[in-house]
Amino acid sequence: MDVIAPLRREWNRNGLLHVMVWPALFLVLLYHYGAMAGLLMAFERYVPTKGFFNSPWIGWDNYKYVIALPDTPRVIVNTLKISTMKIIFGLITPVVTALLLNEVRKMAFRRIFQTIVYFPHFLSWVIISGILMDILSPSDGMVNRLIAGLGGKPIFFLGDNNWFQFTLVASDVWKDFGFKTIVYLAALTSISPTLYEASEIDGANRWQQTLHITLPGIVPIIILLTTLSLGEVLNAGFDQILNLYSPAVYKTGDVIDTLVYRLGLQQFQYGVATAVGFFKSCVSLILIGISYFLAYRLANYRIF
Amino acid sequence: MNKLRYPALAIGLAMLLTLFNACSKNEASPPASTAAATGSQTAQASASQAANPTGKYDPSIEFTTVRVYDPKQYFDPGDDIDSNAVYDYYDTALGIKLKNLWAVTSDYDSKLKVAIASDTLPDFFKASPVVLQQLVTDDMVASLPWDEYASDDLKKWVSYDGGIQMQSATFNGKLMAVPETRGPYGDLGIVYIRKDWLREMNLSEPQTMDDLNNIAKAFAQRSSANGKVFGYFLDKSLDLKSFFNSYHLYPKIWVKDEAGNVTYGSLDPRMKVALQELQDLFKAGAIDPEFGVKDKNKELELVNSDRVGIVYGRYTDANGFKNAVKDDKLVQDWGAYLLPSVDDKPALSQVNSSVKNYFAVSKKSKHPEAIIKLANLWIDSQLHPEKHPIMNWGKTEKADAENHIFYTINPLVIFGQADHINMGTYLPNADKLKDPSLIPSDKKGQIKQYHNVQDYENGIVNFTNWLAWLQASEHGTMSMIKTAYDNNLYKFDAFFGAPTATMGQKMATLQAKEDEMMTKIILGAASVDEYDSFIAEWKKLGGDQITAEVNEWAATHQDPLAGRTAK
Amino acid sequence: MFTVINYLLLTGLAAVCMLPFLHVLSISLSSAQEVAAGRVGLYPAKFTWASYETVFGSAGYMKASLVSLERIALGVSLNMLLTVLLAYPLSKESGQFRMRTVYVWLFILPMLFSGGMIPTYMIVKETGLIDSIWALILPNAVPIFNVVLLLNFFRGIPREMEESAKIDGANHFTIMWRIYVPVSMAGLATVFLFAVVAHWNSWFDGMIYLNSPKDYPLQTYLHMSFTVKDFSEMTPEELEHYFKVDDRTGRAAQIFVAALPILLVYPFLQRHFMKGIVLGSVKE
Repeated sequence: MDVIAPLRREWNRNGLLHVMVWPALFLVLLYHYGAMAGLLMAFERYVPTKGFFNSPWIGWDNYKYVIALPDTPRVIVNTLKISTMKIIFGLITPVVTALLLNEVRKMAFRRIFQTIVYFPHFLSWVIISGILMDILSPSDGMVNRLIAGLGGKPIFFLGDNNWFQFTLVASDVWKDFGFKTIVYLAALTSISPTLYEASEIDGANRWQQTLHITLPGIVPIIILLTTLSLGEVLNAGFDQILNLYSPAVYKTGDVIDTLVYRLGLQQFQYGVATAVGFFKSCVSLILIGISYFLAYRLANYRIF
Repeated sequence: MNKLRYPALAIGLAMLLTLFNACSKNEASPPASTAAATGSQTAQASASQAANPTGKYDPSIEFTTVRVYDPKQYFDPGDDIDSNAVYDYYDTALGIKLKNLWAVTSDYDSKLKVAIASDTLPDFFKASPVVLQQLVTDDMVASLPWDEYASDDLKKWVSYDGGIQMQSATFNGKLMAVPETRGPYGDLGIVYIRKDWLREMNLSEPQTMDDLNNIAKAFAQRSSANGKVFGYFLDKSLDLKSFFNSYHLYPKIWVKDEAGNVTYGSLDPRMKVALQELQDLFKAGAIDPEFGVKDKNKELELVNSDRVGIVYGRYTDANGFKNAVKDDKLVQDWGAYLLPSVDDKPALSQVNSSVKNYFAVSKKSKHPEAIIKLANLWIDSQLHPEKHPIMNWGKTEKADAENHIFYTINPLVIFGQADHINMGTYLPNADKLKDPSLIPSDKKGQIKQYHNVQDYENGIVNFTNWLAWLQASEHGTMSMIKTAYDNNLYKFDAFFGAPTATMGQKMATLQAKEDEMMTKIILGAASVDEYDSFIAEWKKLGGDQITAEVNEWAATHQDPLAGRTAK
Repeated sequence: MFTVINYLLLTGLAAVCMLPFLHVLSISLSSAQEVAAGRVGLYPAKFTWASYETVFGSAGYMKASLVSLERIALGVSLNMLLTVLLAYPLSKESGQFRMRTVYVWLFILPMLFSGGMIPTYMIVKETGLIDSIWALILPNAVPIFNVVLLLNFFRGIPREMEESAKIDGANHFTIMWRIYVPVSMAGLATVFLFAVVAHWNSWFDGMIYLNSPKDYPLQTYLHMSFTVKDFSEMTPEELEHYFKVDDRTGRAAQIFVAALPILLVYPFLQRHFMKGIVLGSVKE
C-alpha cells in the first residue's frame, strides 16, 4: 500500500491547491483534449458518417502530398522569415515604448497615449488593407510623398517582393504593439520604488536606472511573452496576409496558411489542413519546450 | 480529508465517461439499418405518391433545410426567415412543413462544412460543386427520383441547354442533386467605354481591337485633377478574359479543337501576342501600375473618380459605376459595346455552362422526392405567377409600392436558362415600340424597369433610371445579349463537371503559377517569352495529368455546343 | 532635451495609431458615393448618419447588445475566477507543490494543439451547449495566456507575506483572496481587460454554435449585417434594391460600434495599471 500513503501526505499538504486546479482542468480536458481526437483527421481519409475512429487510415499521405507541392519550400522559408521578424520587432517595439512612456511624468499624457495606441488592435485586416493601399501607394500615397520629399524614389511597398515582408512586419507590429505595451507597463509598475530610491542615493542617473533596475525587472515578462510567441513561429498571420497579398508578391508573401487555404478552395477535404496544423503545433511544442528547458537550466527560471 | 478522496475519484470518472461518450457518439449508427428504414419508408411514400407527383403530403411532412440569405431581405411585418407567409404556403400547397435548422447571412460555407463534418445535415440544402462532389464520394446524399416526380414543365425548364446542367449533377447515371439552373448567356463579355471622353477627344467608337487599344493609350494621355488617368480597368483578380477573347484566346477554360481534343486555353502559344500587347499598354501608362495589389472595389475607386475609361464586365457590372450620376445629372456617359476583334472573325465571349450551386438531399432524409416537388412548385410559380402569388409577393399577394423582392425567401430557387434571351427580346422591344404590354404582365420588376427607362429618356435622371436605360433600352446591354445569342457569339467551356481528382489536388498550385506569370509579364518584370516556360512547367506539375482526365471525362459527356439551338 | 524628444516620439507614435482610426470614422460618416470614389481622407465627405442608422435602427441590435453584455458578465466572471484559482497554485515553487509543472504543461499543450473547429463543435454539441449562451463561455473558460501572465505576477509577491499569514493560521484560500489578490491589481486589471476584449470581439463562435439570430451576441450580429456581396451576381431586381448601402461604410460603422464601448471602459481601468505593489505592510 505504498501508493496510498504518499498520496495521503500530498493531499494533507497541498490538497487545497489541487482542488483549486481541478475545475479548470476539467473544462480543459473536456473541451480541448476531447477535441484533440480530431487530430486523427490528419492521418486518415475522414468520412463524416464513420467518425474519427473508423475512417480509413492513410498514414503520412497528407504530409507527402503537401511536401511534394512545388511551392512548399518557398512558403516555409517565407513563413519563417516573416514570423521571426515579427517576433523580434514585436518584442522590441512595445518594450521600448513602455520604457519611454515610463519616463513621462504627466499622467494625463500617459493615459491618453495608452488608450490611443490600443486603437489599431480593433481594426480588422480587411479595413487596414484598404488604408494601407492608400497610404502606401507609390503614386500618391502619403508615405511615398514623404520619401519623395526627402529625395528618394517611390517604393511599392505592397507590390515589390523586396519590400512586402517589411510591410507585413511593420503593419503587424503597428496593430498589436499597443496591447503588449499594456502588459509591459503593468510589469513596470510592479518594480519596487525603493529600488529606484536606493539607486538615486547612490547617484545613479536615469539611464543607469533603466539599464540596471527597470530592464531586469521586466526581463521575466519579456522572456515569457517571447517564449509564448515562439509558439506562433509558423503562424505568419494568415488573416493579414490573405488581405494584403496578391500574385505579384506570392514569391515572398505566400505562407503555409495561405497555401493551405487555396488548396481548400479547390478541394473539400479535412485532412490537409489538420495535418499542416498538427505539424505546426509539434514545431511550436519543440521550440517552447527548448526555451523552457534552457531558461530553467541556465537561469533557474521557470517561464511558466 | 479522506472524504475528499471519493469525490475526487468521482470527478475523475465523470470526466473520463464524458470523454468516452463524446468520442463514441462519432460513430454513426450502423448504416444498414438507416438505409433499410429509409428504403422502406421511401417505398411506402413513393407508393402513395407515385401516381401524383405534385400531390400534397397528408399528413404534412417536415422537411428541414438551412439557409443563406441577404441581411436586407424584406419580410412581411412580423415575419422572419424562420417563420413567414412563403414557408406557410408550402405547407398549404404541398403539405411540406419547411423548417430551418439554421439560417445565416454570411459564412454559409463554414457553417455547412461543420454540419457536414459532424454529420448533422438537414433534409436538403444548397451546396457548391466542390462540396457536392465530396458528398457524393462519401455517400452522404440521396439520389433523386427525377423521372417519376419531375413535372413536364420542370423537365422542359432544365433542358433548354440540352441537358448540360442536369448532367453536371449526375453521377454514375444517377441524379444526385437539383442544379441551380441559370442562364449562361448573361455572362456575355461587354466593354464599357467613356463615350463622353471619346467625344471630347474626337475619337470614334472602336471597330477593331487595335482601335480599342489605341483608345486606351489615348485615354492615358488625359489629364485630370484627381490624378493620373488610365485606359483599361484591371485588378488583382486579373480578370482579362474579355480582352483575350478579342484575340480569339480563351484562357482558364477548356477548349475543344477540330480533332476533338480538349486542351487548357491558357496554353495556346498565341497568348504571347496578347500578353505582349498588355505589356506595351502597361509601359504606355494605360494600366494602373498598382493593379496587382488592388481588389475590385479598390480599383473601382479609380473608375468612380474619372481615372479609368475602359471597363470589361457583364451586363450587371454597370452597377459598379456609382459615380456616373451625381446630383441628378449624368456626369459619366458610359457606352456599352460588344467585344471588338483583332481580325474579321467576330470575338466570342467565353462562358461556362456550369452552375454555381446545387440543391442536394441528405442520405438520411425520409422523403428525398420532396425536393422535386419543391422544384415543381417553384417552376409553376414562375410560369403561372397568378396561381401562387404568395411565393412572389408575400402576404399581400401583389407587388407593393417599393417592389420588394420576396422570391428569395423561397428555399429552392432555380433560374431560367433562357431568361436573359427572353429579357433581351421583350425589354428592348418594349422600349422600341413604347409598349409595356409586350412584357409578360407578371414580371413586375421588369415592367418597373421599363418605366425607369422611359423616365430616363424623358429627362428624369437618377442612378436607377440610368442603369435601367443602360440595360433595358432598345440598344441596351440586354439587347446585346440577344444579338450575341442569335449570332452565336459564345464560346462554351468544354469542361463543366466537378473538379477531377488531380484538378482538386493540383489546380490551386497551377493557377497561382499562372497568375504570377501573367502579373509579371504585364508589369514588364518578365519577358513574354518566359510564358513558354510557364507552359512547360504547367504541363509538368500535373497539367498533363489533368488534361488527360478532362479528355476522359469529355468522352462521356455531351458537347456543350450540341444543344445550342434557340428555344 | 531628452524629455522633448521623448514627447515628440511618443506623440508621433500616437498619431500613427490615431490617424487611421479617424479615417475609418470618416468613412462611416460619409456617403457611399464618396467612399466608392476614394475621396474620404481624415474627415467625412458628404456627411451622413446613414450607416449608423442602419446599425442602430435594426431591431436586433438591442437584443444582440444585451446578449453580449450577458456573455461578458458570465464569461469574464468565470474567466477571472478560474484564472485566479489556477494562477495561485501554479505560482508556487516546485519544491512546495510538486505537481505544478505537470499541471502547467497540461494547460500549455492545448494552447499549441487543437483538433480544430469541427471536433470542438462536436464536443460542444455532445455537451448540449448548441444554441445556448454557454457555448460562448465554457469552451474558452480557461484563458491560459492570462493564467500564465497572472502567475508570473503572483510569483513576484514576497514569500514573507504568505509565511506570516500561514503563521496566523490562514489556509490557501484565505491567503489567495486576502493577500495575493489585493496586491496584484495591476496584473488583475490586465487579465480582466484581455478577458473582456476577447469576449467582446469574438464573433465566429456565435455564428458556429448558435442557430438562431435571436441568440447572437453583438459582434456576430454586426458581422452578419454587413456582408460583402458580389453585385455582378445579382439579378436586376435585386440590384435595384440593394446597391444603395455601400458595404464599406457599413463595415466602418460596424467597427466603431464594436470598438467604442471598450475604448470607453479602458481609461477607467488604467488607474489600476499605474498602481504599484503596496509593500512593507506585512501587518496582517
